[in-house]
Amino acid sequence: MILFLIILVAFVCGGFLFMGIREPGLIKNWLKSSRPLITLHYIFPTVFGIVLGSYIFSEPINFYNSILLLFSILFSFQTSVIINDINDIKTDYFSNKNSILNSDSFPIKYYTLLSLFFFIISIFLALLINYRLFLIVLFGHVLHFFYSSKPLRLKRFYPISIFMLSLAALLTAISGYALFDSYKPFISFPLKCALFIFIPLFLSLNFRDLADYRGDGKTNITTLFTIFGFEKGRHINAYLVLLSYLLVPLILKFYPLFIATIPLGILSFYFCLKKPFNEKMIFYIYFIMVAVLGVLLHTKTEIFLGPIF
Amino acid sequence: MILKTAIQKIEKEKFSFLLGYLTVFSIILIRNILESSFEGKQLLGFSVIPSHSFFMTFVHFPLFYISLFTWIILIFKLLTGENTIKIAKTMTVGMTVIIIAPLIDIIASKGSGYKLTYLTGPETITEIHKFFYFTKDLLQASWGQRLEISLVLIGSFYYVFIKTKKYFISIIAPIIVYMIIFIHSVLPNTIAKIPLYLGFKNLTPKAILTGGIFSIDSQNYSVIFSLFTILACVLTISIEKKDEIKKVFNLKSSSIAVISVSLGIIYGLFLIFRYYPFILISPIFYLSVFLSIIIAIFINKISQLEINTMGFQLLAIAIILSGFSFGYIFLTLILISYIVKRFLKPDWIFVFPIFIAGFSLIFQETTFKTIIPLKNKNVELKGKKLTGWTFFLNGDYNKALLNYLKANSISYNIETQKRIGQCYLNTGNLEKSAQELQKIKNPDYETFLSLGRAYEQNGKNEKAINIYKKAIEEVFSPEEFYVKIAQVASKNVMESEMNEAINKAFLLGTPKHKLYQIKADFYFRKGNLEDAMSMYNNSLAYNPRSSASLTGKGMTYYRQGKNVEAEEQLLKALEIEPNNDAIYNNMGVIYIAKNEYEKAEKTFLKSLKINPNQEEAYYNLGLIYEITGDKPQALKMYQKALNVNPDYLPAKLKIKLLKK
Repeated sequence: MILFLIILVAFVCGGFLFMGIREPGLIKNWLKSSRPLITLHYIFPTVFGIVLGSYIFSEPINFYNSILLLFSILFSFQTSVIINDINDIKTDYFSNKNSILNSDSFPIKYYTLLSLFFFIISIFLALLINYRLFLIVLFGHVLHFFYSSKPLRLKRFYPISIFMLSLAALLTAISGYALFDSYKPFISFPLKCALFIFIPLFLSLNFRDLADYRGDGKTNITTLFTIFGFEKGRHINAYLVLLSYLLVPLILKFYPLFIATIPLGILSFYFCLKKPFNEKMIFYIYFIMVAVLGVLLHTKTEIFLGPIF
Repeated sequence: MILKTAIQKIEKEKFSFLLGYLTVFSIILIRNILESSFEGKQLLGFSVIPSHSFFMTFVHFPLFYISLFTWIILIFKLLTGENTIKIAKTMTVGMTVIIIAPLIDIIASKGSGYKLTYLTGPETITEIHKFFYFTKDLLQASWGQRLEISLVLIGSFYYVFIKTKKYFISIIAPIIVYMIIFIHSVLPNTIAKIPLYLGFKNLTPKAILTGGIFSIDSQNYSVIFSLFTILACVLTISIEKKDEIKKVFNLKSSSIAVISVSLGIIYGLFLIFRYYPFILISPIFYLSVFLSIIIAIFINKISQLEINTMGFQLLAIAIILSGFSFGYIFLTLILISYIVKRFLKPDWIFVFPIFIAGFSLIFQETTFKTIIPLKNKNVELKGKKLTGWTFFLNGDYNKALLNYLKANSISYNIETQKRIGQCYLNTGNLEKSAQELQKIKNPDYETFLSLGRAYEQNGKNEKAINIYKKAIEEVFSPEEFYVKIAQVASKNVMESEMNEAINKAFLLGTPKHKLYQIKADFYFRKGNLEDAMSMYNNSLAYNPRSSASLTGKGMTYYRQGKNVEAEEQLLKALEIEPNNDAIYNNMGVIYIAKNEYEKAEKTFLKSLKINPNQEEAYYNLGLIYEITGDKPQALKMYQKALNVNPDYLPAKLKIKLLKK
């Protein structure tokens, strides 16, 4: 195991060094476009899955495996970010002219190589934990591949695109849970938790498409905003975000949670409609919600279990 | 109209072959993971043993679907005359339909999923319409599969109609596509039955299909589907580029490669034959030889070919996957041959790695130990192991034991030791079995399972439970071992132990029908028939195909004196599991209760034909003969019951009574 880890570290360092020397701006540019806020959005469900698994199976958290998994998810997401960027060159040309891929000097070849590099790291890290986790992480890669890359490129079809993103987030939670039950995680992952992760995200993730509205329209990508128009779409999106916050206590059947979700939902609603739109604010509120849920998970774990109806 | 526009859009889409292939592979992967994660008995990736799971997930399953994919492309090409790449593009997107089946099955089965298996053989042609029985729930056709096949057929009709505008051809298309799907479903078992059709009855199809020179059963399946894929690719390329195909499969220019690989195989065959004579009976062996020759020809020619056409690229993928199914040594040697042929001078040196590759087909991981036969023992060891495994799969455990004992005397090996223990277990020598299995220092999943079974059958339930607990600690499929503990506890009316195990198994995702069935069995044994019936009904609500619950329900009716209802339930169970000896045994008991002795006798004999190691079946037969006045025959049966289990008290008492 240690030997594998050493090989992996050497591979990572060597890879970064090689690409850093061949293309000096590459690593810097990647760091710029690595979307740390969305990355965190994928890390939280994983941590949630780990903590939930630890509670359900009354077993302590294996920190070594947990760290490996978190890094695997991190690199997996970074792979998908790069693949998405490469496939979005056209969209970004209209809506994000500052994108690194739109600068003439940037070689796509190295960016593709970087994605392959991250893919290998993420798969290797998962394999270090066990074969099942490797399959689950691979499943996640496949979802992202279907989402952004041709020939399916499901991000073009609303609401399938949002469905895929929510599913990917749910999968990261299941991967955390699978550290404890690596054999039948899909069946044994509590349905209540699956719904509590999936439904609110499915309703609220539209806001990510707001910034790309122009590019999406010109490249035939359907989103909530290209279907209903910018203004109407903005309002629908705000209501959906509010609804997603209000649904959390209902799904968990823990109504005191309304004390937190109502103000946070209203705040998100306000920031969704505020001009100019600032995506970061929505994420910050989401992180507060995650913190609240974290406290709940620690103090009242039983509310995340049990029947749905 | 929408479909037409969609097809046109897909055809215009620009993406590389690699992306297209990755998409197809990814779709197959998702289907595989979903199907294997939710089905009651299976696990994520189909097997708890990673090497088996790897072949299933990354070789066997992709080859099955790629074969289907290439054959359907060929049919569409022949019917519509459309460009192959355009058809393939549409097919790539259309492949997403295969994800539907497991999803529908998950919903239809209330979360547990259905196990999909290959059809039993060409005799199922009379049941070819089974997929269209929309009113019945059948083991071989799940709801998801029906929907999936229906969508494929509708899609085939529309695709051909859009391209040709001819109704007749459009109606023919789904019929041919359906036949291709059917052929793929029966192909493995048909090939396994070839020796049977030729009059050779010594080996069962199971021994042929899952034994032989490959240690993992899905490798054998992969060989079959590789050849089928290659055949479709060759036919497709022949339509487009006949000359290219002639160039590749020109035996004259590839004669050195063909001779080298053949000599390697013949040399291997010469060494192994006296220790493993079954090799010449297995059709999989002949298919492997044929496939390895094709691989050798392809490697010989690949650097001279224009491989930009889709057919060639698919052919290359099929050949790489075939190489995987032959094992890593074969694959490595083939790669070395390619590198030598491509980059070294003189290029004829490549005959050496190709020769060894041919040899490795038979000797696998022991290739380098056996190719220079300085020590004949290594060849004998390999041969004995292969023979032992074939007998084992054939159910001839005594013969298997002899071979494994011989192999172990040549060189001790954990795998052989495990098989020795399992042979003793299957021949009823429980003490010896436990003894042999206990010797294994680092027990694997199968060892734990067998050791637990040995203790269980020997009545040492506490020990069995402890072994299962140890397996859980080692994280070998914990939910399966919790179920085992619950079953042992249920049998011995250890309520708290059973409940604890059931709760754990539930948390780990064991399907509810299974857990309800264990509880029902517990109440049944306690004599609490009302609760047992209610639990069996709960179990059947979650899985109407649970043969164990149907049997349990039938036996509960029997205990309540409702023999007609009991028979009805057991007949349902037999429809689902026609080879379950225990169900036949229970059925016989019901026939005795109904005073239908002739039927009962036939049923017990059937049960014993499936599994001759059942003291209860012999005992019941004895009862029938006693009732019908044939006392000598009855005595013989009681004696046979004692031969199986010398401690079987009812038989001992009967013998005493009859001898008085």
